[in-house]
Amino acid sequence: MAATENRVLLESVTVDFPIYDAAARSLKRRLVLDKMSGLMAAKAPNVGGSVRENRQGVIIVRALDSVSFELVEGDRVALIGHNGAGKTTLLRVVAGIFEPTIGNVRSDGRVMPLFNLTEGMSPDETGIEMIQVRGTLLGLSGQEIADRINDIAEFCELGEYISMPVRTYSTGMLIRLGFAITTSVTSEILIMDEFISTADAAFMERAEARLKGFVERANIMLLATHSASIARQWCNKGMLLEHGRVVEFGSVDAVLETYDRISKRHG
Amino acid sequence: MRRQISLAIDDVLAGARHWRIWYILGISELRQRYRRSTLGPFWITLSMAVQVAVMGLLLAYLFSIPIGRYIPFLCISIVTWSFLSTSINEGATCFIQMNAVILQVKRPLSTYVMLVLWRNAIIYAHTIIIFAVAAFAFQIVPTLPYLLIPAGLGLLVLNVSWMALAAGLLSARFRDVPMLIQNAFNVLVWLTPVYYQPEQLGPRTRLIIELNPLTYVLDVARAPFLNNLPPAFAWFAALGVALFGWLLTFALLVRTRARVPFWL
Repeated sequence: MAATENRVLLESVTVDFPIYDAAARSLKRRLVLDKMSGLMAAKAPNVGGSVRENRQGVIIVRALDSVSFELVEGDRVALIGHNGAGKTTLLRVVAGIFEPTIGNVRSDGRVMPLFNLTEGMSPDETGIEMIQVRGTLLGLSGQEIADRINDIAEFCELGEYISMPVRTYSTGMLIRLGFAITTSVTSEILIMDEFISTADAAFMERAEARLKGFVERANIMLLATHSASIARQWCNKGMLLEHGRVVEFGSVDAVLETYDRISKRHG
Repeated sequence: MRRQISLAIDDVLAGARHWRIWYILGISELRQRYRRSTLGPFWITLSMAVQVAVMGLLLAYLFSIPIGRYIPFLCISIVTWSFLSTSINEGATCFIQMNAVILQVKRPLSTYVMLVLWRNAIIYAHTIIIFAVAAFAFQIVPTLPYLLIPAGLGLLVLNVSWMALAAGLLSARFRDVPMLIQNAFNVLVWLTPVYYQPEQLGPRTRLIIELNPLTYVLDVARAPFLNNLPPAFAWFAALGVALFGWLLTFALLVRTRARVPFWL
């Protein structure tokens, strides 16, 4: 553990996205831009940030609009909002993948973003190779990986399969392996796009215990989710994002209520 | 601006510090590429050996050069050139191809360039065997110039790394660049003395290859293997290109580093 307190601090963070694909010159560009702003105003009031065009004629989408907040140790925040509200962008900013166009971000602590459990998995690698590659991608050292191989293999109940190519695994085995590798890592600041799902029913109970340990080892968690039950079960705070702005940051229940109200208003 | 400069320096240093990432990924990629084949990466060795044998016999005859002199030259020439051109071409697409990973984990951009260089260095090590065999067959006995091999290879890597990084950064934004580079290399292989020696050209045609910086980069990495001492000018040219190229590429990195993820 780091000596300093873990903390995430965002100060009026704005993120602009250039969209080059849509920047075809002249008429076509005009049409796209008009259509997009029209769409936003009328049909889909919850979707996306503002769209404009810069001087070079490149279309700019404002994905986050002066977002400020602070997360301290013990915060487990459910990030809630409609598709396109900027949730993934915000997670990427906290993870340091996107640097803000305007404003400042500080993340003190070891950050582990989790967007995909099976990243870096290829069918021809054996279970052990898989653990080594994915463990390295998640930032583990060679020694740390060696220490964990037995624990992971045991948890997955893979037995002899651990040294077979993963394409011989059933879907359940593969998910279990990805899950076990990921949850063997300790992250001070945990960032997740949708909660880890374990699908396999027989495996659920043991998975739950392991997951609990994994989440509890993290000092701060920021979890983007659409599920109210997951938000209530795992989080102690909620943050509502709309059009790239933080509309509400408070208790999970209050935020979910506001979210429902907004969703209903727009049908 | 000051902040962006120090972040760019950090990017390169952190890429080197986290060498385990590209070390393991490079090995894992090659392992996958040749999984279940008996020869594995030696397939590259074999295919290059066949290419060198056929080309070597034919061109030695056309150029009227004794085989014993031409074939070792062609071996080391092709091995070195293919490291250079493959690294730059793969460097151009390295950020585009790794987009899923780049958008998932914060990692220095230089990691992905080092991954390309490392992978091609492994391939270089597999293909240099062809030269070793040719050198043995044609009785090339290592003498003093062999001591310059590390310096020559060092300059090669220094040059290839800035070219690959610059190609990658430009390609992330302008998607025509990879195709442009690929086509440029189809021509460059003839405008650089890869298959022939500069002395075979007349003084006026020679000017073209003398203006081509790749000539010197190739020469300092190749000549010591053949017991030749590259002229001092070649060393200065290769070093000059490396410094100047890195300066430009670094300026490009300062400007584009933070934007690359948005372009993917």
